Amino acid sequence: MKRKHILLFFISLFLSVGIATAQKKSEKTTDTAPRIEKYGLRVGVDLAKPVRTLVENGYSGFEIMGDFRVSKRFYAALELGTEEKDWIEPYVSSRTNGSYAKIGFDYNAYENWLGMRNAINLGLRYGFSSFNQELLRYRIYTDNPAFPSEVVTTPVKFNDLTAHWAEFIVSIKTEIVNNLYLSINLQLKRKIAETEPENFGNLYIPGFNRTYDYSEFGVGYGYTVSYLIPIFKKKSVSEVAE
Amino acid sequence: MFKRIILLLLLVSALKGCTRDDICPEGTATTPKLIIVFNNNLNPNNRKAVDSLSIETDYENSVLVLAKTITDSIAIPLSTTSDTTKYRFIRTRGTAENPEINIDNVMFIYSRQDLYVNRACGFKSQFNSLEAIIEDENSENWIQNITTNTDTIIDEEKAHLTFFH
Repeated sequence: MKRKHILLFFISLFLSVGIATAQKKSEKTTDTAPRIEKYGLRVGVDLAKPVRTLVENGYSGFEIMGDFRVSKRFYAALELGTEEKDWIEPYVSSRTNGSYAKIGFDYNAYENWLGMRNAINLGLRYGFSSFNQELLRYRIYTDNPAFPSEVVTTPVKFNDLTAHWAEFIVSIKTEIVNNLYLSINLQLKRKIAETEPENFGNLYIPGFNRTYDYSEFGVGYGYTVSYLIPIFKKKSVSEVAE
Repeated sequence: MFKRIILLLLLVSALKGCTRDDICPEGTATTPKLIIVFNNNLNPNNRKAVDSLSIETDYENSVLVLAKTITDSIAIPLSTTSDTTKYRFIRTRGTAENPEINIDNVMFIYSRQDLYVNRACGFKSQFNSLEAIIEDENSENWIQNITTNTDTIIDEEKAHLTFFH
């Protein structure tokens, strides 16, 4: 299951790179016509989550995103999502469900050719999640053969848990048809604060993904389709393609 | 630029694959064992080794947890699925041909509390209100007396019980 995701991920990664690099072959313009930059609201959904909902047992999730161009290179960005995930470890199993919000900005580090609107975005987000967690079952850890442990299956619910994190996000966006974008992103997160359930831990945090025993870091990815609603256009004379 | 970004992406995904912490590392403080020291009954402040001690669980399918050892302190596991644990303390003296075996049955009674350790190790047990009851065999017991140093077993730092013999 995991391998399938990884494979899918790389295929889509290379596909989008192929599209992005293809634009380099496009004709070079030597005129001094001002380029027209579109400003507007881009809205989209993460495709990876609904796909995982269909193919992965014990997972359901949905995410919508939006960004608004505030300057030539900067975009204000927002992601809103909801997730439910069963996490099964040899000694503990839990079910987490909740929703999250990520707010921040993207910086487009990619220099487009005239008329192209692709992007390699480097972004920062502040992430917040509000969720519930249920401890489904657990075992007492033992390494002695005299008294093997038994699985305890008395579910315990922990409500109103929260987590905060900072996130670095890298995404590649390509405009596939006019105003429609396909993008892939990778996220590196660092937990800032969390409310831990009493006598238990957060195995999974919606938006943050799985946690680690000895690390505050987390990772994630997304595959997003988005549509740009142009609000106004700006001519930029300063940067003209040579 | 593209190459650099792709390298970064690959690096991050590689890190994701490598981080495996679902194996409980050795040395993690999980369920503590019961620590018993053996003191001299005539000189209660002094340790006294038991001459060849074996310990096995006192159930239908008994499991040997200590095989014929000359020792003055032991660490034995308690059951995490029951509020009692029964052991047979076997002292073997004499020669190989003519062994002199004395078996004392001891039952440990306690209450259990399950504490979360981490995702790899799951939970551990803490034992509270520990009591040790030795089956009275009139004058046949080799363990003369038991004192409880601490009735909560949280760690393996100090002896929880002292057996006098």
